[in-house]
Amino acid sequence: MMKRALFWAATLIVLAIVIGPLLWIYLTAFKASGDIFTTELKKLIVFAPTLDNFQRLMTDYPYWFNLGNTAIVSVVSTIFVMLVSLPAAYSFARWNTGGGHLLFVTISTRMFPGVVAALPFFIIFRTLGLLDTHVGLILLYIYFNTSFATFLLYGFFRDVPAELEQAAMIDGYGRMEIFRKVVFPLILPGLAVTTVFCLIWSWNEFFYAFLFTRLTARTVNVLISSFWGSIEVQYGPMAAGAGIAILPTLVAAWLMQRYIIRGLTFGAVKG
Amino acid sequence: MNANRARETLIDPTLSDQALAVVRKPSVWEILTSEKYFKWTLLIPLLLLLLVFMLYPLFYCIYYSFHEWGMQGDALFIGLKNYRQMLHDGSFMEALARTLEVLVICIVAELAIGLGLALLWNREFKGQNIVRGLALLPLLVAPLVLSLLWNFMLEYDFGAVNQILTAVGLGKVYWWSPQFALFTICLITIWQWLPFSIFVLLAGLRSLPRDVFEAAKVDGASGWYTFRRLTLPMLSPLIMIIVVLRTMWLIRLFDPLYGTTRGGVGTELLDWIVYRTAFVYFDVGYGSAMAIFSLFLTIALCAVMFRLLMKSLGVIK
Amino acid sequence: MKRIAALLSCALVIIGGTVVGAMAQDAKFGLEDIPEIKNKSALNTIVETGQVWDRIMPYIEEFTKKTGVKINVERVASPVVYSKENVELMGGTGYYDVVYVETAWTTEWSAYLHKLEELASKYDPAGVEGFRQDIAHHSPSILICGQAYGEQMVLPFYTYHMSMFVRQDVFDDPTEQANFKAKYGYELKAAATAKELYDQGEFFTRKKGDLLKGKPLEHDLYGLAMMAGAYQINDEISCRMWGKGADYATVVRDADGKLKEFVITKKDKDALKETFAEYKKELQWASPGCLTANFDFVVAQQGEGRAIIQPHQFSNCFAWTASIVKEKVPDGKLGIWPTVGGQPYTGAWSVGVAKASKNPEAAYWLVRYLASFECHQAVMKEGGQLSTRMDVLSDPMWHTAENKYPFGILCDYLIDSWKKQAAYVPNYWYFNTKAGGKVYEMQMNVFHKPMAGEASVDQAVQEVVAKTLELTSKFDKTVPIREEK
Repeated sequence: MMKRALFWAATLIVLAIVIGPLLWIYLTAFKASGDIFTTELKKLIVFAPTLDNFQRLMTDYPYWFNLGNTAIVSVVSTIFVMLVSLPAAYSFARWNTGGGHLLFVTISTRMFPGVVAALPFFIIFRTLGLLDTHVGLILLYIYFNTSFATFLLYGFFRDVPAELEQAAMIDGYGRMEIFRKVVFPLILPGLAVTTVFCLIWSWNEFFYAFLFTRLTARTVNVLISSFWGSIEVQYGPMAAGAGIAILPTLVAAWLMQRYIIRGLTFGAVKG
Repeated sequence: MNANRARETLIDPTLSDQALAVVRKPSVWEILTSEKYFKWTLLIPLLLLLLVFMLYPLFYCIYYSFHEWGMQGDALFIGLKNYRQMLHDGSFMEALARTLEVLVICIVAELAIGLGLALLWNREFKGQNIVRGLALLPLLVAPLVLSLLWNFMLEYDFGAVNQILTAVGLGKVYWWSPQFALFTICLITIWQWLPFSIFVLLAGLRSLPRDVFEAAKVDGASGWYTFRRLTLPMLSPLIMIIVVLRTMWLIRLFDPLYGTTRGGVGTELLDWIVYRTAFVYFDVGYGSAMAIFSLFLTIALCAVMFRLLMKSLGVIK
Repeated sequence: MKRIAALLSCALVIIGGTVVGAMAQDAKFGLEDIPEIKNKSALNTIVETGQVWDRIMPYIEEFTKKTGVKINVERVASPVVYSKENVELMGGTGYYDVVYVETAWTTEWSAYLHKLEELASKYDPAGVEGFRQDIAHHSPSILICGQAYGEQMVLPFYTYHMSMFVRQDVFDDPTEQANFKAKYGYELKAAATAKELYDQGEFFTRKKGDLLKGKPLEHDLYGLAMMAGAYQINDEISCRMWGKGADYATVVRDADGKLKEFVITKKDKDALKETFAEYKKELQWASPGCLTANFDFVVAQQGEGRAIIQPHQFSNCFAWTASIVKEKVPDGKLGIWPTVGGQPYTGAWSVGVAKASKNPEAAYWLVRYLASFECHQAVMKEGGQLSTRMDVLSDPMWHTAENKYPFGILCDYLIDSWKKQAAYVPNYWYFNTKAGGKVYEMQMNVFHKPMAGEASVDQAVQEVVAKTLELTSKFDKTVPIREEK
């Protein structure tokens, strides 16, 4: 009994710390600006809720349009990441192609300071006419997410026993067929987890989205972080915007939760 | 390893290729999916991607790191001057030291707390899905938006956190004091990334073989003994993975500074100073030198750990 | 029915009369004066987010209606306007037609901007003369800030000219006045020297339960509220540097008034050292939160009645602070005064025409329109920002009994302050160097260091000097810079 109480006490404290700030975002989203800056504690929770922030967001800014851009860019880039990462990770896991070095090189793409890499990309994108296009941003996100996606999938592929493939081979399956019919179904949960991570990261990316877009391809995150004027930070619309933008990732993560708990092992733990 | 060897003897790739060649000239598709080349075929998209997106900025930066260039006019070749300047740049060295400090603090804290919570939640309990689902949330919110909001929540007079602390009688904490600000940045980072450790370790714990633990229980091993002798060693590759990935990401830590201190009160980290140099001053030459240096530092740090990891996975000997 | 008709006709007469009167009194440039624009290709521009641009959007639509030129407006966060525009300008994308410029960058960007008078002579039926006549309504100080090498490159949109906000009700309180005089031996009035400011900071810093205006305080009170975070501290320091008659580098001209060189003189260095030391000392009378504060927290501090003086604040925060005071401290009232030394940080967010523009004609007219009486009136009336046009600031509507506080005294302050400062502005270093934007960003970072205890005052001065030399010699190849040892 004591143990149970302790367990729940610890769990609830952790959850409070985790949820508190998120709750604050939602509370702020419904506050008038006068209620945001206050030293009265009770106003933190007790206030006259208003929809003004949402209304401003929808009427004065192309909120849905930008959210749509975010969705397009994240989804398409994630699909392409999978097309690149899936075969690569399979190759690394099954044949140890490149003896681990190539895998390390792939991972190391995220070690380069993004802010500096942005300049050469900007210049070449200008030449190619890719600035402020969905394609441009999608290309960048493919590049960013491939590193982690390959590494994560690498783990899932390692979990697939080689014996299965040999058996299939004896049955006369070709390599492509084995990949399609034997291996692929087995790593579906892994694919789900990786997809969610890629989605979330492209969804939340700011710096490149800010730099490489203007109006046509601008993502919602750039809009949200732009509520920082020279004499006012508009916390209300910012919180409202963030509150809505979180929801899709929330749903995605919720649906994938059981896979995440099962699957984030990187193939590193074996009985 | 045995399995691999068995497979190699079972189907000889060279043999089947030759056999095919006798009959007719194989099509490109057949070559690509042949036993010999298939593993490389699978890598073609990745290699193309790396070729374009990795080598191009890399060479660009290496080139300009030997030049003085502010995006206007011609670049002036100055040899190693940028690198020399960097080594004598006090702010750069401080930023480097700070980054390493943050690295250690965050990784240790994330691992320790993450492991604790993973152990705590590695059981069946009512509402487990809800608890775990909620715990995942911080990872989902855009880091940049969070930094703006944290800045507000941790403000000395108006911040929600200090108001709550005052209400429960703990008094205000001066989060952004020069002495404490770096830890505050760490706290924000840990808050956001803790779920990652929790979930990786939780996944690890769940996939541990049950029979070994049951055997240990039968043998009367204490909880602590089991944890130290069985759980930890089996989790160690995962811990290593967390360390490698987090090292990589933490060296690039940038977002939490953007909306909060903007590099002030002793929180200027490596990527912030690189950002300032390359993107605010547009001192591309010097910024590139910093970037190249920080790239090789990261590679050096991670390569060692990656090797250890690959060893513990049994991929390399 | 008859009555309504009578009323209507009355109203019409009044409106008509006003319109005619206004026209007769002063023919101001407006939408109607824009001639037919032949080039109809759309304009791209970038501005910051915030209320003022929210309110100007309808006016931009009016412009489109009148001219048939579509305007695409990109809006980004204020701190990154500089980086974003710079990348596009230097990267040569040619995307922006109308560029949003903080006046401290005017010279730096002059290579990317059209000279407005050249455009006027090309596209304006009224010619350069007409152009000059209309912009003469703007503050002379601010116009100079928007010049590079003597040429008008940009026109102001709204100003962030600084000032000192004090709680006038507290300063006017007889008990406080008497106590202050007893303690310090001189009258309590808005500080004109560093010593006075320091004394006032000390005097008003009180604990919960102490008396203010004879009533016990419900919370701690601070004398000062400052923005010592690594974001706006440099603007505060500029007030004080200029107030001492010094600068980050002294502008040296030859006999013809042409730029010869920049020198970081001994006087400049001493003044910087002194300023740092004073500022740091003053910080002890401000809330600890000030060390990372930006304008919004400082405004909130004074607004909530937790601080008495904002020694250097953007004047466009005045009405805002006053509105919070009105709500939270019902008997409180603000006063606006010059910063210590009388030469506050000045400038304006402005608009200019990019050289790369595919439609400089329309871009010129948009810039003119945004700087016109009509738009500036809207900037102030609807946008809550401060116009730089004297004819807007002296408009009777701001000086009625009910608008006198806070707007009237604010307008009076600006007009007066600009008049006094106009002689000094041409020689402020920011507005003469091509490295202005870069040095400005560097200063945010380094000025903050001695305040946070990351560096001593001497170290910080050395760093500022070294980096100013480095950045200026790297980025301003036209005028040499040196340090006087």
